[in-house]
Amino acid sequence: MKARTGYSTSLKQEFLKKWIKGIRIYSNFKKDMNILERKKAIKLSADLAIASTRNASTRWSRTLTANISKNETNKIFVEQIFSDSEVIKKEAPSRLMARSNRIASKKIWRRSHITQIKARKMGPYAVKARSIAKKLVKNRTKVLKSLVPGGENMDGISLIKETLDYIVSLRVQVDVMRRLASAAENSTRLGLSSKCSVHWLQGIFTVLDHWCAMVH
Amino acid sequence: MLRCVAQSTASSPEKYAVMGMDMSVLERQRAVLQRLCQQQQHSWQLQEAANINPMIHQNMSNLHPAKYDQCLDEINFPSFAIYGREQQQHNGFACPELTSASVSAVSNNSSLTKHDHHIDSSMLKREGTVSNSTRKRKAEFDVEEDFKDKGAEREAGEIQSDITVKTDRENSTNNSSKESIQKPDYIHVRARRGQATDSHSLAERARREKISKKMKYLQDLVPGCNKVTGKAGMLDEIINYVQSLQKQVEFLSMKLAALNPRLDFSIDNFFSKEIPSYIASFPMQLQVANPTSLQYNALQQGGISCGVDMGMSPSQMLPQKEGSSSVPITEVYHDSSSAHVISYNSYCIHDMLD
Repeated sequence: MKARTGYSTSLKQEFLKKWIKGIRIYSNFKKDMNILERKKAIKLSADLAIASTRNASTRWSRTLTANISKNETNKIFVEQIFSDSEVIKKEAPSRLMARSNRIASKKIWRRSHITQIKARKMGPYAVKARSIAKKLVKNRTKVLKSLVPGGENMDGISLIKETLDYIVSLRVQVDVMRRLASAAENSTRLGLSSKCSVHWLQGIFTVLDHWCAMVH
Repeated sequence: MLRCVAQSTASSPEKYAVMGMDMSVLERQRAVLQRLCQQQQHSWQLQEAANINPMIHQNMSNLHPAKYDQCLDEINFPSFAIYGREQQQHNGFACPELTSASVSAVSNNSSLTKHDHHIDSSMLKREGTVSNSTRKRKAEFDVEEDFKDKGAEREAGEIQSDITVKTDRENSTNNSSKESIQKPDYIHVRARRGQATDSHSLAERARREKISKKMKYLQDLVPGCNKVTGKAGMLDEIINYVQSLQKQVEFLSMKLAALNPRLDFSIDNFFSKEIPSYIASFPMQLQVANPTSLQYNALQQGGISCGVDMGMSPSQMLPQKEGSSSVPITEVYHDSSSAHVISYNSYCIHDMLD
């Protein structure tokens, strides 16, 4: 239990650091944004940050970074923030795609063959029930694949693995964002003026680093 | 044979993964087989030892010593009876390959095979027990796997071929004396039926087990998944959860954008309010330390004595648990000057990140 909380804490720290860094860069990049642009900047930085915590080891993180980098304006932003290693990893999915196509066609043949055999063995009703159940599962996996970034070409096992990882990361993201939002809300309610200097942030990060050093 | 299988499985579990076998299926089967063999072995060993060993020793002396030992092990196993039935009942998932090898081996080990035949028939006559078909299939599958595992190794090939030779012999002679084994082998019903498709079904079963294992993890992760059973329901919950998380991210980013006209995420401002709640929630593990760190000079905008001390302590506070410094904190808190707000940043961040 201790290890788990320690891990998630460090994950949150890492995410927060990267996220704030991304926002800073974005705001330096583009002054005077309207609310929608700001929202986009926040979300973008958050997505990039959470994807980079995985160091491109998972499919979804790579796809997420790749999707963000597809946009030309974002590309510069991305490259400014992060190292090139993640952007390079874009090529990995294409290889897997060819392989998964082959697997898909094999599966289709196998499935038809197996249904024939099963129809002979069990009654037609049993087959129907099973096929309905399978269809349900199939539809839902399709939806899940559309939700998880990069999930299109994955088979069942890796899809579930990626979903697991993705859910953990989403939770971290939501948790950190929620706390930040509530703090911001409270501070505006109190009416405290904002001390917006990079100065502070640097100080914060040094404390964070110290703390990380203590913990690890 | 079983020992051989056990050895191979113990030494190279990853090969089974390659074969598509899940360890749980194998483990179960192996456990049952071992149980059976141990059962039978006790009764047989005394009887067979005298008969078999001299014959084997005679005939295998010309063989390679390593193979010899392995063959010895295999022969001693009562589960040899398994293979006889196996051949009969299915058309040869593994047989064609093995029998072709066995043909070559037969010529080498003709004397051996004759004795093996004798041994096997004697074994069978004494016990009269035969495992049911599925177990044999599994055993032969193991044989096959062993065969594949060792690949081009001659030793393995010879051993396997010995086994098939024996099975051929047994097949021809011992069809009648069948009895079911004491222990019900219902575990093995799932094992392959001897056709090429069986490896598929076994692989499929292994795959399904893997998926169900991973779904269990997901069940722990996704709240409310415990009440639903079955893949479809759980997938439904998972989809809803992921969608809700994604929508939350969108919503929160919108909220942050609205709250922050200038996108200045200086953390200190945001957490100034959080302090009292944090202070109330847990004892502050602080110590008033000397402001020695240079970085805190950078932090300071004004001369902060207590503030800096407070700020310093997070890096020191973790190893120290119980602090008695709630008083200085509240003091600092009550002083609402912006300079002091800085000192709380570190705590707030810690709190936020915990």
